[in-house]
Amino acid sequence: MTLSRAWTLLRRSRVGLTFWTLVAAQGCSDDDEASTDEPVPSTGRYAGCTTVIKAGSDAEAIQTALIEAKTKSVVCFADGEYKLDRELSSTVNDITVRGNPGDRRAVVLDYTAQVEGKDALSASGAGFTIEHLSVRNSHGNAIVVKNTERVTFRNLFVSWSVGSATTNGAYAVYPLSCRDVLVENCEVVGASDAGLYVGQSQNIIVRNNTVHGNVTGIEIENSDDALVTGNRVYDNTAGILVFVMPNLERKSGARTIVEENRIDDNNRANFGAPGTTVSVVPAGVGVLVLANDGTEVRENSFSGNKSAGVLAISLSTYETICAAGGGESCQSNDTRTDRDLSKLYVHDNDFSGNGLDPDETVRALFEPPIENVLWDGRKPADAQGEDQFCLGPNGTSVRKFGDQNGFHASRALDTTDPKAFACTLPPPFAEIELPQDT
Amino acid sequence: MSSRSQSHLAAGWLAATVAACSGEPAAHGGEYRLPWPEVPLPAAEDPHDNPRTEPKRLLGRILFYDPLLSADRATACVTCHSEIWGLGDQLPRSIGVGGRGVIGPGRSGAHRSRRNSPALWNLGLRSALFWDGRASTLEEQVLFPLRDPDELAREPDDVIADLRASSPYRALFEAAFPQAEPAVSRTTFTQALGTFVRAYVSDRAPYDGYLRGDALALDAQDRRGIALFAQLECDSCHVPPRFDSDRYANRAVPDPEQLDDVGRFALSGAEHERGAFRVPTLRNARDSGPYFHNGAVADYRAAIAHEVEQQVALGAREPLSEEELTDLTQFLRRALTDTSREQHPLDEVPSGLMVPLDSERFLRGDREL
Repeated sequence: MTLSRAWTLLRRSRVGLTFWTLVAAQGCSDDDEASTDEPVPSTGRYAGCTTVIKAGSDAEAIQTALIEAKTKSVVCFADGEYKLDRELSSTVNDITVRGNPGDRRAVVLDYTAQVEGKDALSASGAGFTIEHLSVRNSHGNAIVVKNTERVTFRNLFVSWSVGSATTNGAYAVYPLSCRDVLVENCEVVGASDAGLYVGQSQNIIVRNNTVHGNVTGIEIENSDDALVTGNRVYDNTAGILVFVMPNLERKSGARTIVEENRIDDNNRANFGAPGTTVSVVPAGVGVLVLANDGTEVRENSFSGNKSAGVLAISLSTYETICAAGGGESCQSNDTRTDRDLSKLYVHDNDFSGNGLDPDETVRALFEPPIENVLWDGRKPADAQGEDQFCLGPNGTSVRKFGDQNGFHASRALDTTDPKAFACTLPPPFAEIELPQDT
Repeated sequence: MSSRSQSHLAAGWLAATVAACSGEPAAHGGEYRLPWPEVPLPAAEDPHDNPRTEPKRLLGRILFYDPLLSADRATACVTCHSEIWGLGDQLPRSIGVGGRGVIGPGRSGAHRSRRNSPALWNLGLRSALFWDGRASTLEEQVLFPLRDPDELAREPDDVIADLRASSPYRALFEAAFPQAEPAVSRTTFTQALGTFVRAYVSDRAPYDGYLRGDALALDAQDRRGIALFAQLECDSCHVPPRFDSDRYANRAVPDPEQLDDVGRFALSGAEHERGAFRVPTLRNARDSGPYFHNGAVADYRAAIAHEVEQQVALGAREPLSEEELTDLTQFLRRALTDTSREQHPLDEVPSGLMVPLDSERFLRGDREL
């Protein structure tokens, strides 16, 4: 580490010292209360709010309000930009953190000057809702919710001022190990991993979001029962990922529907941090399905994704691609993770202009124009006789480029006749019901 | 402002805002009352010669992540006390210098510690540290894992010499200890690390919310769990609001590795303390498995069931049904968990050595609900 870096750390500690002195000096006079003492109006802008954060409040004032909030509180922000120097956290159950329902950009949580913590806001209470506000320049992830249930992210705008950069936070919306997750009407720009990420969770709806300028737009990872619908996903490195990854607590992912999304021009050069898993995702893929069990991709429109519309692979193929792309520790020795993709049904999507100018890792394997759907041909060992990959009676251009033994030695061995995959599969689920989605 | 609230302010801004700014706990809406005194968690008092300051805590944090402290220059405090694994390492017994693999499950190596890595929550409130209580302050505690040949395996004086030779560290110590001469010493080293660990406070769990007047913070299941906790007399050792005590107990923990650890007896020589270990806190215990001094029980519910059996054998009450065990477990898992003051790992440290990292995949992984 350079001396200048050490001085940065030192400077941060001086900031801390100044801050400390200020807190000690100010004590608890009424002036530093974040919330107003006046009764909160029952109608209009602050209807339903139990607390209103005053414009200009700083991180410790807001944190105090979050600590003092009670179960079922609605903590609202007055319009304005809030300059925050540290991560906020909430542990209260059934709390709602709310900006301006009429204009999410009117309330901005700005972490440009963040010196403490990496994420913008982390929550662990059940029934956590955050809605109608913007988060800017979080050093790490933006909104992190772990190990709980009934989580809602609604109408958020998350961005970084520099645009899409490796130094940006990894995830904007980041529920992990949660049950009943709703992500709707959010816009996320510039995350250095996935814009909207749902990991190791169950019972999930991700709908009507706009996601662009991220390495990956939407990622569902090691999760069960997820509906991804009505989203507009463009200008990411890759659009929508449905993944099972090794070395996680949860060892499988099952039942995902990707339906009625617009997935266009996801061709951005990969800006993930070198060495990370996401940094080896090839640019130009609309939907990437990895080792998930039971996935239906239907009635989406794909246009201009330069490598392929849909790429469907097992973990073994992923490890091959990862190593070829310079990824570290691509090979997993986690024997408990379900490595095979099973029961993928891709049908009735609208494809135009995909696979015309593939990323070099894809070009190394396939000549453009590349088919709309690519499948590595691996099936679970115990289900060889069953249909595992179907395109339905209407079909679309397709290439099966391998089998149980890996990639075919020659492209001449590939299967490209859609009729070979005209089978159908039942939907993974009829619908997702969330207790908070009434 | 009263002197009481001033001392709270000195003790930490968050504790201060809670204790001083919110006044007395509001009256609870219903008639529900806890079956023990409704006392909030006190703030930890700093040693008189080591009042906490933010520069000290930040320096302590940097030292916590720096493998300069280890004989192999690859192991740090965080190797066995990782925020990814509940401030433990998820191993039955820890693996110190020379270990291979990322932090957490799967790490391997010849140097295994004697006992399970204790989580670091609320240690500032304790006066008996380690499983056998051999240290009484965090400052005193710091040097044990440093010297232990199965942990960091370095002589303190060698570490101090390395720190003195580093200009970034000299600057950080001088900022943190402007009065000390020399700024980098064994004393200031232990004071910085002690200050850092003292800041791992868990006091915003739903249980604490209830004490602050949030009547709904404990749901019906929590309340059933609390009643069982009291009936089983768990609270006699895991005393609220800390949910620990500086007592030692032999709980007939399984000994699959046949370690025959005599525990507290090795220090006290008291026969009744043979095989006895200090009572750990149940705050945030959800995340810090495996459990007991030897990490013999992997699952939290199973560890709770073991403790329940002990209490039933003592005649505290009749055995629990599966539903009752679920209620008790849910109370302990949910209502006593507050990870809001976890630290984020540092990316780099002044020595330039590589910070022991969980892989990206481990970073994404966490406890399941």
